Amino acid sequence: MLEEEKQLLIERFFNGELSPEESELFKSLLAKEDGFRAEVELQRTLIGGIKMEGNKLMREELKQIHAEVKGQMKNYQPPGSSGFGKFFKWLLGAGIIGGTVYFIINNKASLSTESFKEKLEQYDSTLKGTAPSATDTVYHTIRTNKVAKGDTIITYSVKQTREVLEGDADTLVYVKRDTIRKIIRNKNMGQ
Amino acid sequence: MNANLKESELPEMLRTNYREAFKLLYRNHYRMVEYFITKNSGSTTDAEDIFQEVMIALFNNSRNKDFKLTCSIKTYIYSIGRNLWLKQLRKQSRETRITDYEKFENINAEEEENEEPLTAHVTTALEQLGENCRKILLLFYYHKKTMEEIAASLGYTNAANAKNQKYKCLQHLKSKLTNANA
Repeated sequence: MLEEEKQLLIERFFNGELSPEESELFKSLLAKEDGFRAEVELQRTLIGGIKMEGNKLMREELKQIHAEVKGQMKNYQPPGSSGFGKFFKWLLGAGIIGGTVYFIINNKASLSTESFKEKLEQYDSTLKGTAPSATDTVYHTIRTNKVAKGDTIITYSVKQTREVLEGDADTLVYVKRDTIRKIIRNKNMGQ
Repeated sequence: MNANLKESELPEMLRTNYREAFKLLYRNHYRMVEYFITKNSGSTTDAEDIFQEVMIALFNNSRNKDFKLTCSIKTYIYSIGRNLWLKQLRKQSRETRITDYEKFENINAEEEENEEPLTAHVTTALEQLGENCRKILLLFYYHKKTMEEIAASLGYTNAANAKNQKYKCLQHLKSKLTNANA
């Protein structure tokens, strides 16, 4: 095989243009001829070096391009942080705060004596015929300062879903999931 | 030039007018990569370097005959940038847990063969060649231009002449390299 033909074969190899037959020939030359192998290695190095130089020049070009278009680059907003997304988040936050304020106001209103008496009747009718599961006396303040030392807590096991604390000066009803606690105020303790 | 580059047009544009393609990509996607890097322990300088490497990887990949975009340009750029930045963080033994802002795919940039000292000598030898020789070798091996395109671009009468010249230039480079290492 002529040197020129070998050169052409090597070039076609680096261009990824070898046919299956040429590929076989290439492999056998690589295995048999030290000179051929050395030439392939040298060309690999040359091409690697040319590519490196190409990349170096390309970086320079890219720097220029970057400088040219700097003022025209589109701002980036990650998904979910768009103007609409932000507005939606703000709306959600405002809703939560508003809901909490509404709940507090409503809860306070429920502490008024008249509305509590109505509610107490409602609880009493729920508890009618239900034996208390426990009766305790408060020895120290629990959860809220609405319950004081000496108060009596009557606990009923009744299926409920809300958590609420309602009461007036004499009675307090604390409803939490499966229990209703009726708290009878000990007036002597507070005075 | 259309500001919204169609994804299917990108490979062709990178081959025929890569500067314009890069301008569009910088305009449309640079800030995304910058955002990702600066939110993941990098600086704006890091972002500039990484985006450059993304463009080079895209350019080199587009020179492969079977190059095809398998996802959107945005995902492609984000994925390469993400991988390059992760690699750099690992190299610097820095925190590699990152926050993502876009979906990504496993696309890697071609590694540069700069480990071999002889390869670095080639760049020195290239600088000693004439301007025309450097151009012809870069156009053929780096830009992957055909001999017809090289002939048209450098003013050779035909592709065969350009091919002849390229052969001579390569031999010239070889001799410069072997002399330097003798």
